[in-house]
Amino acid sequence: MEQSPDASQAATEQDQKVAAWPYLLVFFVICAIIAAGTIHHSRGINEATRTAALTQLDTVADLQAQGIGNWLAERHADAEVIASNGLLADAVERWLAGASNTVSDAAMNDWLKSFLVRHDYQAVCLLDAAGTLRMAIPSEAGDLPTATRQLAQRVLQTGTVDWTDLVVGGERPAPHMDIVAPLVARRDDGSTRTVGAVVLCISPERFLYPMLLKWPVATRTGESVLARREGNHVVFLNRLRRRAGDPIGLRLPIEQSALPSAQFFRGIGKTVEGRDYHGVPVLAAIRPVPLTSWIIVCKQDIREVRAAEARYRMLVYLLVGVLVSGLGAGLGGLWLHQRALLFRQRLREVQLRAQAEALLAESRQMFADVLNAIPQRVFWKDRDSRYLGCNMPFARDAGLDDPAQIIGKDDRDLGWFATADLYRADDRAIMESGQPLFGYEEPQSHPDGSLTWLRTSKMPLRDAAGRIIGILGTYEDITDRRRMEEERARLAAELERKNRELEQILYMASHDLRSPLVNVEGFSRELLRSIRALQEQLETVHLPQDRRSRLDELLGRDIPEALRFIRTSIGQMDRLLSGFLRVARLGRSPLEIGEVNMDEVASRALEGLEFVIKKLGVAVERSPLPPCRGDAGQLAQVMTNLLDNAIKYLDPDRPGKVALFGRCDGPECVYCVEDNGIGIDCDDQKRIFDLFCRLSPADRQGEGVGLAIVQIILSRLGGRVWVESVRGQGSKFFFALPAP
Amino acid sequence: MQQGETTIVLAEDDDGHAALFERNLRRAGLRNPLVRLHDGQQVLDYFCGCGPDPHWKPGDKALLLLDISMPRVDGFSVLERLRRDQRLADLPVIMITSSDDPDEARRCADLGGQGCLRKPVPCRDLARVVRQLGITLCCPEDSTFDD
Repeated sequence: MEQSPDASQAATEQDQKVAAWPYLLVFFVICAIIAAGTIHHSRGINEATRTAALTQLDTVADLQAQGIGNWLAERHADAEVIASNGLLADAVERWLAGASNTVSDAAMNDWLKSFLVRHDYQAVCLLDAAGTLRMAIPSEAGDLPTATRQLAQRVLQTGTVDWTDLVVGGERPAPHMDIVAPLVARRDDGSTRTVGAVVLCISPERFLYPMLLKWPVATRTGESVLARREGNHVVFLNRLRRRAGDPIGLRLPIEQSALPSAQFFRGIGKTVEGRDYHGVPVLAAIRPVPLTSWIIVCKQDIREVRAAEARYRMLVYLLVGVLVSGLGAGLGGLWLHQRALLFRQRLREVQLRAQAEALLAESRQMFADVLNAIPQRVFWKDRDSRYLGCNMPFARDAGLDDPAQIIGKDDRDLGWFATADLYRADDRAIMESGQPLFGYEEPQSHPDGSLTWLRTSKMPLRDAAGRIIGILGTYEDITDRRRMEEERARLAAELERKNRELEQILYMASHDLRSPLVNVEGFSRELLRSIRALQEQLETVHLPQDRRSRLDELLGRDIPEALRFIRTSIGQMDRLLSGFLRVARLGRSPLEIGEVNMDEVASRALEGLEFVIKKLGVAVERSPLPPCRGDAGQLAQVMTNLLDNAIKYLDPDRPGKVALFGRCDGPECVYCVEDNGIGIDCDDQKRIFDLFCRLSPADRQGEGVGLAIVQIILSRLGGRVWVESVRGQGSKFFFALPAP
Repeated sequence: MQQGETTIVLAEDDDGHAALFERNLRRAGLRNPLVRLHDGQQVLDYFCGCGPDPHWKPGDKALLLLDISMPRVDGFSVLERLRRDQRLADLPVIMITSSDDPDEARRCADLGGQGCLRKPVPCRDLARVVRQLGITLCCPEDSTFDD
């Protein structure tokens, strides 16, 4: 069906009712859950990020502390190697003693230089047992700081390896660190003697500080700081990034300080949060460096940690955003989809409704058309006999152009107000009894005072609950039919009267018309008899010849001749009268219709004619005749008349033959009486069934009604008769009757 | 039973018919007493003994030749009434009619008539019917009314 704009619009209007709030509710609930989760999660982020950062710092601190420790251990090991090498000590002792023939200066120089080359020391100095510098490589390194000299003196005395620790802010601007290895020579007696010392000068710039800069993780603010405690101060042992211009060796008090190192020294912990030397909030992991009093502080700005946290948070927020957007889009899509579904559904409903309405309208129209097309008047009324509706023929009867105009009116408002009370009383009776009234006749008055007749049916109208809510009525105008019935009744009475008259006529004809004939005939015989007697009497009387001959002429010829004419006419008149009466009586006799055994009928008819048949020597040929439907007595008459006719008109010049046969053909049975008689001319064939028809003057003996009677009987029995004949050859009389 | 004892009662309104009938009977040699009545009422009066001329008495032999079509009371009504009288239940009645209506013969038999003859009545027909009734009329076997 075509979608009408109305339907579309109606569907759109319907669409307004699609609720978005459940989707919004679901959306907000899920958002709330996500937000709660996010908030909960982000609370954890702080701690987690911090913990992760600290763990990372711990790892870096461990790694670097271990690295530095290992490096220092190697340096000490170098020194121990030197200290434990008696041979070397001997050689140095000999070189110191000036025995340059055994140990050349160059060899000593090469040996010391090998430390620089192999171990990357900044400088190597050789001291004699008194602590005097005897050789320095490079040579300008010979100016040893006081602390180193003092340490060298101590080492020369103790004969054990020692070091200066990392010196910052000392005599030299650059931080340095010197290890002193004693040269211990062994005597043959087992005693030992320190012959000198080697000072290994280490620059932290070469290994230590670069190592601090090596972080295994990417960081922007990560920084490792070496520090040690000096009294109530923390001394920073390396170059500080945020104080790049400052000399190494910044000192800051321990007490009340937020420095991570200070917190460590105060025993607060190995991983702390505090502020660095520059006052920047940091997270830090602190480790003591093995073999030293140093600590290594690996720190990272809290801001960076926070930045990572912020990035993570951003990521989370992004994720949440994507999630929420996806959720919103999904729910929105779902809502739109549902809306579209609902729209389609509504549209379909609207279309279906429109379709149903169209069908309903069509069916209503059809109903109205049918109702208006039928000639019967149809109407329906409410409980107060006010009209609720009617069809067009009824409206026209009521003088209205449109059935709708009847609504609300009652019979007293309409053209038949004069008979309205009659109708209303019927309505009430039907509504009270609940019984319909069918097919009763009643008058209908008209404004001009005329009266027509109706055949009316009324029945109670019930609602779905079975309560009577009014009546439904139909009627048809039977005035014409009534007139016809009256006319028919009048005609029937007329016919009855005519029949009675006919009876009278028949009675009169059969008795009163014949009575005179009987007299005329009887007395003409008497006259004849009297004339004979008169003639006999005259025989005895003598009369002149001429008179006698005149009397003989009169009595013997003229009078008898006159009487013969009279009697012939009487006979003719009597036959005519008989024929007339026979035909007239045909219509009177009641028919007894039933199955007729035509074989029996034929047998009886032939029996009746047996005498004539034998006398004339007629050959009768019979075949079995099927039964038919009719009146046995009347059909016997038909059979007799036809056979009689056949025999009567046989050709005397040839042996007579009569054949009788018949067959049933569908709804009718056809019988035939065939003869080889004189036949009938074509022109005459139409006349032979007429009343009193005689074809030849010689045919004066018959009444002239035989075939007429046949035709009348067959007509009454619903059959017919016809003839096929050839002049001089014979005739075939057919008659047809309904099959049984 | 003597021949003359059976009275022939002829009920016939038409004088001509009656005359012809009587002549034929006489000519045929019939000598029975013959009473001529002119209408149905006279017949009833004659047999009921209530008329002016009561000829018939119970025990009298009679043969009624009754015309159907008669003034005042027709032949059928007469026969019907006569048959109601116990004394007349056995009275032989032959109806005479000028009609050839087969219904009349049937009706006559239904009402208890002994026969129905059509005018003009041949003598031998009358003789045959009468003979069947056990009444012998003096009528030559082959004589007829119409020679």
